[in-house]
Formats: sequence, C-alpha cells, structure tokens
Amino acid sequence: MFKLAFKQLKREWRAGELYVLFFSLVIAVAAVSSVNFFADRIHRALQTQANELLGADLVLSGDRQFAQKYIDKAEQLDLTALRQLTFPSMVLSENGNQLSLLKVVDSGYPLRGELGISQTLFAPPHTAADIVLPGKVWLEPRLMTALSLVVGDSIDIGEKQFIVDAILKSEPGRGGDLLNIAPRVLMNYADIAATGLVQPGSRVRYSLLIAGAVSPIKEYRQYVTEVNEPGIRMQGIADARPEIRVALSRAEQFLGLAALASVILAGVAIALAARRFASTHLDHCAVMRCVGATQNMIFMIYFLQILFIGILASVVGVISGFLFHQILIEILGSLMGVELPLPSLMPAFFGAVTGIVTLLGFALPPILALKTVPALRVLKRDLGKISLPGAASYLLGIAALAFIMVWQSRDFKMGLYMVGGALLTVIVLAIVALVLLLVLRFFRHLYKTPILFGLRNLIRRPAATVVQMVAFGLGIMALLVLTLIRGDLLDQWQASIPDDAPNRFLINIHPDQVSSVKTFFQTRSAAVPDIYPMIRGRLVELNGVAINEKTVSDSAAKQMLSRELNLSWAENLAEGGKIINGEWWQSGERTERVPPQFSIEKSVAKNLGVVLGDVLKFKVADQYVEANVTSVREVDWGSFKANFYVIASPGLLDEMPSTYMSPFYLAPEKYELLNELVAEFGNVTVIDVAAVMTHVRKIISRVSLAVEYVFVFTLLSGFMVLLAGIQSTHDERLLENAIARTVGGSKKQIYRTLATEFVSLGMLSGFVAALLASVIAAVLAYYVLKMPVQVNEMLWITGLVGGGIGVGIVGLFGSRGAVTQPPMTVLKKLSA
Amino acid sequence: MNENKTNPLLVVNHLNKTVTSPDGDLILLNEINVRIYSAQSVAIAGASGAGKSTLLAILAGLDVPSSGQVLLDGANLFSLDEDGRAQLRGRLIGFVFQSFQLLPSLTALENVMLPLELLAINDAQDKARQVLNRVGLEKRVSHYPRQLSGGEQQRVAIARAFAVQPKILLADEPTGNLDMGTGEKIIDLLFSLNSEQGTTLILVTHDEKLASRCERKLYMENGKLDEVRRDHV
Repeated sequence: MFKLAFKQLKREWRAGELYVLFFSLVIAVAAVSSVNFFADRIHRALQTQANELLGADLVLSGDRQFAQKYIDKAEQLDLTALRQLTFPSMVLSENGNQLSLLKVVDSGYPLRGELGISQTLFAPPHTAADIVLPGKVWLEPRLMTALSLVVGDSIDIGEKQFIVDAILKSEPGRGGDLLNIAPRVLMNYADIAATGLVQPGSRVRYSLLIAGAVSPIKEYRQYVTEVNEPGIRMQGIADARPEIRVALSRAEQFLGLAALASVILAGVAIALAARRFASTHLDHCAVMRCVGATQNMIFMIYFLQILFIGILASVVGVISGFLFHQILIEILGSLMGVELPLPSLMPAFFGAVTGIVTLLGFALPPILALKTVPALRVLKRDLGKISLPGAASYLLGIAALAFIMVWQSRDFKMGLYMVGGALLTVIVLAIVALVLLLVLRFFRHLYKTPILFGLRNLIRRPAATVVQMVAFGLGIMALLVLTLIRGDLLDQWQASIPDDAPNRFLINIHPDQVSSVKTFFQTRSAAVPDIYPMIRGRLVELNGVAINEKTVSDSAAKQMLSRELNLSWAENLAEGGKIINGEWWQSGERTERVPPQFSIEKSVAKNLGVVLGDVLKFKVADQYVEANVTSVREVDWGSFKANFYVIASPGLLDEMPSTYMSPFYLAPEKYELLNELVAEFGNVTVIDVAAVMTHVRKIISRVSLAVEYVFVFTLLSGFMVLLAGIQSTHDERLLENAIARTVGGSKKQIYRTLATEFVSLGMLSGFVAALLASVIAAVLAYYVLKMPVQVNEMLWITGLVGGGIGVGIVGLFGSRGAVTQPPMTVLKKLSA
Repeated sequence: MNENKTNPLLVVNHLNKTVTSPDGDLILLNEINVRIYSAQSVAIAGASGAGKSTLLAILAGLDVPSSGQVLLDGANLFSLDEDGRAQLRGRLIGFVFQSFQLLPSLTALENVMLPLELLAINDAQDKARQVLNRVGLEKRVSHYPRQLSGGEQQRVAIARAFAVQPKILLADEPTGNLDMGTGEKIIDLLFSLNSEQGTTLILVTHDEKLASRCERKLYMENGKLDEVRRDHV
C-alpha cells in the first residue's frame, strides 16, 4: 500500500499538480519555524546564562540601602552576601565627557560567572582574579572609544579621579539590556564615598547579591518573602531579567502572530489545492474502485500521499526556516547583546506539527470524501461530482489553525485573543472585499470592451475573488503599516516636537548647587534653565488604607507601586501641564497659607483609581507626607518639558531629601558648555535626549524590520492562494480560452483579458489594504501618539500600484499554461 | 467451447431494477435471468436507453439491483458489501470502456500497472510490460494518454483489463469512440486475447458486425433480455 501510494505521488509530482499544496506548506512551516528558532535561541541564552546574568544565585534590589538584617540573615544561613550599587553618572576625561552606568561592587564579585578584562581594545579577554582596586576603574570598550582613552589614562567621576586600569569585556548582568545605552564602568565599593555621588534622593539602584547552597537560598527567599518590605524585588535564576523576558515574550508573540498570518493564508491555499486535488482524482478513484480497490485502500493511498507531502514539506520548511532565522538574528541579535547557543529541536518539531496539522485539517475532508466516489462513475460521469464536502468541512481546518495559534502563543487566553483578532480582521477584510465586488458587479453592463472582460471574470467567481482579496489585502496591509505608516508616524511625531524643545536633561543637581548652576549659565550668556526639585517617594496609603503592588490588580498600577515615584513641588503650574479637574493652588508668595495638597497626573489618577479629595500618603526616605488631591493634570509628555506624576504644594516636600533636575534646550553651537559644566559640577549627569531618541528609533526600526521580513512570508502565502485559485479554475479557463481562440480570439487578446483580471484584483486588494492601513494609522496617531490624523497619499499609491503589479505578474505567470496550449489539444483533452 | 455448461461462471436470477422519477417508477431491468459459462463470448445488444449499460453495471457490482441475484464464480454479489464487491472485481473482472477511462497523470505502463499494484502483485511492472507488448505498444510504454491516439488508448485499456488475467471481461461499447478501421483492429485484439486466456467476454454494443462475432447474442428491449433475436441484431 505504501509503495503504491508513494509511486502515485511521484507521478502526481511529475505532473505538477502538487506544487501549490507543497509550497504553501513549505512557506507556512518556514515562517513559523524561523520565528521559533530565533525565540528558542534567545530563551536558551537566557536560560543557560541565567545565573551568570544574575551574577549570583539570588539578587535583591531596591531604591534604598539594604538594612543590616538582610546581611545578618545571610550570614546566619551561611550564605555569601555582597552589596552592589548601580547608577548613571558622567565620566570626564581630557577628551570630553560621557554618560555612563556605574556599577560599584565589593571584593568577591561576581558570586557567579566571571569578569573578563583586557589591556587593549582588541586583545582577547582574560578572567580577572579579583575586582578592580580602589582608585582604579575598568571601562567598557565603547567608553574607551568614545573618550579616546587607553589603559593608564586618568578620568574623573564625581569628585574623584581614577586611573583606567583595564577594559571590561564581559561581566555578569550585562547581556540582554535592550535599552541600556550607557556604557558600563566598574568601580570598587571603597571609592563610592569619595565621589560624592550618592546623596539622599540620588537615583541609585541598590542590590544585594546572595550565593550559597540550594536549601539555605530557599530559606533566605522565604525570609525575604515574609519580611515583605515594599519596593524590594527578588530575582532568582528562574526569574532572571523579568523585564527582558516580558519584552521578549511580547516580541515573540508579535512575530509569532505575523508568522501565523502566513499559516492562515497557507491554510486557504491548501484548502483550495486539496479540493482541486480531490476533484481531479474523482475519476482516478472510480477507476481504482472498478479494478478492485476497497474504500479503505483508497483512503489510505491518499492519506499516505498527503502525509508524505506534509512530512517532506515540513522538512524543507524547517530547513528554510532555520536558514531564514539567521536573518532575524542578524537584525535583532545585536540588540540583545547575548551570545546565542544553538537552538533546540523544539522549533523544528513545532514547525513540522504546524505543517502537518494545517495540511490534515484542510486536506482530510476532501480526501475522506474521495473514498465514497461510486465506481459507477466510470460509466456515468455525472455521479460523484458533488460528493466533495462543502463549507462545513473547513471547520476542521479552522480548528487546526486555532489549535496552532493557542499553542504558538503559549498562553490560552492570549491565543484565544489572537484567534479572535485574526477572525475579526479576516471578516472585516472579507466584508470590504465583498462590498467592492458588489460595486464592481453593479457596473457590469459597462464592461463591454475586451479589455474589461477580465472584470467579468472577477464577478463570475465571487467566492474565489473575495478569498484572494482577503489574502492579498492582509499581506499588503501588514507591509504598508510596517513600512510607510511606521516611518510616517515617527517623522510626524518628531516634527511635532518644537525646535526649542529641551534636548538635554541635567539630573542629580545637589540642592546647594542650584544657584551656582544658574549662575553658570548666566555668566556664559546662555538661557538660564528652570530647575526643578525631585523627591523620590513611595505611595503607601490611599485614604488611610495601605496600598502596594500586591493590593492592586491593574498592571500599570502594580508597576507604579513597585518603585519610588518622582515627586516634586511647585508654586506655579509648569508649561506643558493643564488642569483638567479641580484647581491649582494659589500662586504668589511662598507662604504657609497654602494648605498641603497634591496635584496628580491624569493617567496615574486613572490607574490608581484616585479622584479629587482622596488622601495620598507617601513615604519619603524615613518620613511620611500626607495630603489631599486637589487637582488632576494633563501632561504633554512629548514636549520633553519637566513634568511629574505628583506635584505637592509649596511647604509639603521642601524639607525632604531631594535632588534637582532641569530639562533645557542648548543650541548646538553651545554644546562645549557641557564639558565645562560637568567639569565644574562633577556629580551632575547630562542626558542627551537626542541620543536616547536615536536609540529608541533604532530599536523600533530593527524590530519592525524583523516583523516586515516575517510578513514577506505572508505575501508569499498570498501568492500561493492566488496560484491555488488559478489552479482551481484552470480547466474552466482552459476551455474558455480554447473556445475564445477557436472563434477567432488572439493570444494577445486573451492575455489582455487576464492582465485586466489580475491587475484589477491586485488593485482592489491594494485598495482594501490601504483603507485598513489608514484606519490603523489614524487610530495610532489619534489615540496613541495624540497627533492630528494626516492622510498619506503614498499609502494609496503604493497599495494600488504595488498590488496591481505584484498580483498581475504572478497571475499571468500562473495562468500562462491555460493560454499557450493549442485549442484542439485542450478541447480533445477536456472532452475525453 | 461449452464444456463448462454444468457449472456457469455468471448466474443472474430474477434481476429487477426500478428507479423513482418525477413521472413515477421507471423500470430499467425487468425479470432478467441468464447464465453465462466460462470462456463464452456474449454480446448484449439493444437500442440506446434499453438498459444495457445498467445491466453491465450490475453484473460488475458497480450498481445494485432492486431485487434479484447475481452469482459470480459462485459468490452472491449482493450479499457482499461495496468493498467486498470491489475486491471480487479486482480478482475476477476486467473492464474496457467506450471512453477508455485511462488516468491522464499516469503513463501507459503505469495505467496498466494500477490494478496489479492494487492486488499487490510483485512483478507488476514486468507483467504490465508483457501485456503492453502483447497489444503492440512496447514503444509507447512511457507515453501519457494525451500523447496517444484513440486506438492506442483503447489498447492500453485492453492491456489494463487483461493484465490481471480476469475470468470475465466486460466491455462497454469498446469501439464507440473509434473509427471503423481502428475499431476492427481493437476487436481482433479483444477476441484473440479472449481465446488465448480463456476469458469470458461480455460486451455491450450496437455494432452488428461486432455482435455477430460473439458466440451468443442477447437482445435488450424495455428492460427485458432475450436470447438470440438475430433479426434484431
């Protein structure tokens, strides 16, 4: 049986009947497995390097110095505990200054993993025996380059001078920092006081690294959980770098969804191709029944054939997916900064299962129907013609796709949302396509010139036309959104930022430096920036009830409550802020007459469920402040002006430990001032807003480039749907063309009609795509970026022209066989 | 020729076939009784719509009667299910059709191999080649049906029918789609293979010349079958 099935399959392959089925499947499998190979390698990198990434077995981190009890407990359990600090600061050298991320560690670091250092930029790293000595620092290569330093040079950090002792090539805890643009400096804990950088209110991240045997670690974990101090985060090997994991799993889900779009389309192509396969085998089956084949034999022969196609296509698809995922690694891998291990076999398995399940889902119903073809069909051809199952049979295929989606998303609820979203998109596309087709039909009496005959072909096969329009519409829409709209919105957004918007932020200004910083600018005839106090406090009570990340369910609220918020106080409402509810306090002389009160930003109020009159209680350092909310503000964050989530009335926070910050615009010709500024105020950190923006833009463009690549599969699947559609109407077209040519039509005329048909199909799809892409763009602009909606005519031009040309070429290519055969051959063949 | 008269290969008892149509019941076959012996050649003649093809379909187990019995090599055809009948067909019956019924995606050789492969016969290819040689198509084995003339296609169909060495060969208007000269050659071939292999030949035709070459002639009219009505043939 197997031999027979295989032999027949070989014959079918030679006859070219299986190409569409096979390649649709290859594309679907390649799309899914390329995304999964990529995701798998990143996951494995995170997994295998988890404790190296952590630098310990357990890491506690928070905004405050850890109390001694945490260290005592560790010692009591025979665990090693090490303190670590990280914070941004400026590094100054003769050649300029650079914002860097300081990591201050104690001897014994790292508890897990190792430090790799070298003496020159390109020398291979060797493992450091101990940490950097006091008075010396190790710098990351890009910092060496940025400041044109060599080992032995001296640099200033805060109030202290350091000697560059080595180049820091690798260290635990570095990899995977997607948004970490500042290069790393490693400093000895003994030096921190001398720099004068750590002051009350500074943005310092305190960590406690713990390492030891498994069960004491478990006990220590238990202890920290029981103490339950707000703001302390605990990371073990299993939950290393949760922010990266979350970001990655989002990216994976998105890429996965993009890949699934091609699986859905491939499903359509497979359904069409399988139906065609079954309908061309009705005679085959009848003859086989006639010469002695049982129903089971017929089913098994075709089932084995389909299974074999599935296996072969899956293998080819998985190999293509593996090759293709290298491109994704190329695009996104550098952003991860992780050495990637080889992938596991799981993505290959998943790809193959996707292929076979999709194929069986869509191909089994027509194949099952084949076994019921009556042998009598050999004598009476009209029998068995209608035995192919109808629309209901696609339920199996749809169920198969839903299964794959849920599996791919690794989250039942998320998977269901995806299924719902996909169905909704397809339904909307189908409705728009149907409406367009009805409009086309309404004007059908106008299609009298031969060049317009092609339009009649579209109307005549409404189901096929709608399916094809949905397929192309989906592919083209995705590409339009990812290319044109993305660039467009980013440009518009950037253009909406005024020219004199702040381009530099000064942070970490000590309170006693405020007036000297102002004088600094004054004496150099530069605009004197506004300087704002910044106080770090944690919201602990709302209307007298304790509140923390565990008492709320909203994820944004959880995030806000898990860390300290930046608070400020002000007499006057700053530029870029607008009161939308309540009233700002009386401005004027700073006076005790203003009762203590808070003004809260709109989104914070919404996320925390705070309304006017509510009482907020903050913990700032070891003190508590409490006041009513008397106004809700709307803030234009895009203006880059200084704004704070919560602003207190004068008098409430004045005495709390604070630092000052200032966003300001500095004309490019005055950038030199910054070197002087940091030279004078060593502790002040300058953030280049433009550099951050460029970095964010780079990440967005990398990620969307990766998604675009995945959508190429979607478009390829769209073309397979077109080819399957052409194939399914092949005999009909063959006969039409043969008759047209018999009665005097030229090949040229037929080609023209076909060109009209496919070009208009492509343009209609492009229209549908441009329409939906515009809606998506408008929604993004209005609701997400809060910008006026603009029409992009390129969207329509690209959609219509691109769709017309693309589909036109593939359509003519796919149907050339229906034109080139001599009419007599066709008529003889079809009447046989 | 009639040495097996005591032990008929095909027995038809009280066979009836009625179909329901909007105008009431339509009788296609009416009380048919016939016995056909091994190695006989039998022509079933009659006008279009007389029920010849219906009878042929039922004899082959392709269609089921309303009532009556068909015993093929001793087996009651309609006590078997569809698959049982298919297997019996595979072993005992060969077919030749007016419209050849070759599979367009298979070469001549592959078409002939098909029934052999379904019976899981080992040297299917050699056997198929031998039969194709016998019908004079040794040079056309790897041609597809569309590359063959009508006569050649019918010879492939005959080769396919004889490849499994059936006990009965059923032919439905085997020359209907062929010109006279080609048709004659096909008939010669059919009869010579019939005598070589000792196959029982049942053919439906309205070609008088063809019918007269058969040992027995049956005539169908209004669903009834009569033996030897020479004046009608």
